[in-house]
Amino acid sequence: MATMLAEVPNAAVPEIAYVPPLVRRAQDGDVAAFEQLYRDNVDRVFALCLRMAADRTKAEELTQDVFVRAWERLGSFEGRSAFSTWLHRMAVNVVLGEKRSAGVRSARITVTDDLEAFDRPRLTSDPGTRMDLERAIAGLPKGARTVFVLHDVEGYKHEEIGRMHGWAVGTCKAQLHRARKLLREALNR
Amino acid sequence: MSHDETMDLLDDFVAGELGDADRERVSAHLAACDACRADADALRALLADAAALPRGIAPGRDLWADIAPRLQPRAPGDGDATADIKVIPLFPRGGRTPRWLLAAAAVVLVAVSSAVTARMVRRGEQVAVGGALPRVTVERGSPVSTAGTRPIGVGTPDPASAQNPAPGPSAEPSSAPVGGSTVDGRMAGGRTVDGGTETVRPQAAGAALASNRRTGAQGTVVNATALAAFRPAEREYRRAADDLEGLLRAQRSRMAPETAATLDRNLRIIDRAIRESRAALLKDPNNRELTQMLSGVYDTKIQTLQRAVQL
Repeated sequence: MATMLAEVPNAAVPEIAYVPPLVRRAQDGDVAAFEQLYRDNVDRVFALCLRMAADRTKAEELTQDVFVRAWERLGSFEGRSAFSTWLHRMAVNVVLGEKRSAGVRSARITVTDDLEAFDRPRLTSDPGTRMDLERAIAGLPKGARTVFVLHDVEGYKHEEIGRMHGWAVGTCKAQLHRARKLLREALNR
Repeated sequence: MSHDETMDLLDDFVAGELGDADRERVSAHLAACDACRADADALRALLADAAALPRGIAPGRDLWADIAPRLQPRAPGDGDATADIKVIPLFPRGGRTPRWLLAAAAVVLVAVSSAVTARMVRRGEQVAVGGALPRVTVERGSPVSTAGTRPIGVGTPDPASAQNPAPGPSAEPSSAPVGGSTVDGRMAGGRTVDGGTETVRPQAAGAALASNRRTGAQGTVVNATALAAFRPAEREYRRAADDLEGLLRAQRSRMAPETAATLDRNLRIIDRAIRESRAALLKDPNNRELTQMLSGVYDTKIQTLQRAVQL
């Protein structure tokens, strides 16, 4: 499985700091430049938010929050990774932060039949398989879904997920095992 | 090896993370067991499908229209904290003045007074700043008087100072909406419940700062390094702020969107003031007045969050 970092050339050479001109312009307050960064990255961020939240409206809110936070913290981007990697990590943090607080106030809807939300992919695999899998992921319990999306879809390692979530690696592995088992049951595999 | 043992190790086996001995045992079992081999194949297929999911999904609508109004203007290098601060009123066309508008005004005053105070400190003038900032009397080259300085984390203005308001840009009313209403002497620190509202304040912050002060001859307050002395207090402030922000997130859904947006904007203003105060302190780590200023801004953040939690 390709990992997220492996797909990002700059991430492989983190010692080389490079801030792309578009990002630099945004850091200097150029909203138009930031809008371009938004348009370049929104699909990726929205996909993460949608899969993690399993709720389109919530995913839209989270996506907005991610970009607002990114704007606020642009100054901390030093070009040691690709901007998309930096943004993606921020998106994960925003979603996990929201999930933690949501857990405090109430149980959120964890199952969705809103498959239209998944119906605008940039890439297409076998549509039937993909939609079934998206639906099954959306139906997972929150913790299992989070770990499955981060590990098996996004390519994060257990150690990274554990750090982001405040979990031990063993807990993370147990959640992943559970998620895979439930998915295979849901997909009759 | 049993089926159960194999299943327990299958995730790591498929991921190639097993040691040699376990890998060989699982391989041997899979070679002899059709059911477990089918499970392994199904797991590999699931992982392949997951990895093949599209990395991007377009939102159903353009979200930029909702994002753009939330972007606070920023200057190159994040600029002067006061240069572009504007508070967007919730009800610009009249009507009753919401509490958040008052709080927002206070926040702007705090930010402005921070900057002005910093300039005056640099000029060596004697200045006293009222409002949400701690009262600090500064005279360059002379012992620093902390008389009238309210304890960190306590929002009630010091009566002695209030009776002798010094000239300055921060008017007394600036303390009204933000300070004094949510923090009171009854709160011994930590997390308390007051009137049904959970409240957090950094009790140890003031103590930590105080414990790092040493009083020298003639009452002069001496710091080994003001920045180093302030760090324990700062940790307490941050912990308290984190706790309050957690509470706030938990009840954010009950807040009107406009109110939430205004709160966010003003917290950003405060955070910017914190960043700039810290940056100044890093450049001049022995400047105790800057630590007072920084603690005052942290106070404002804590008080603002407390008020928001109580809404």
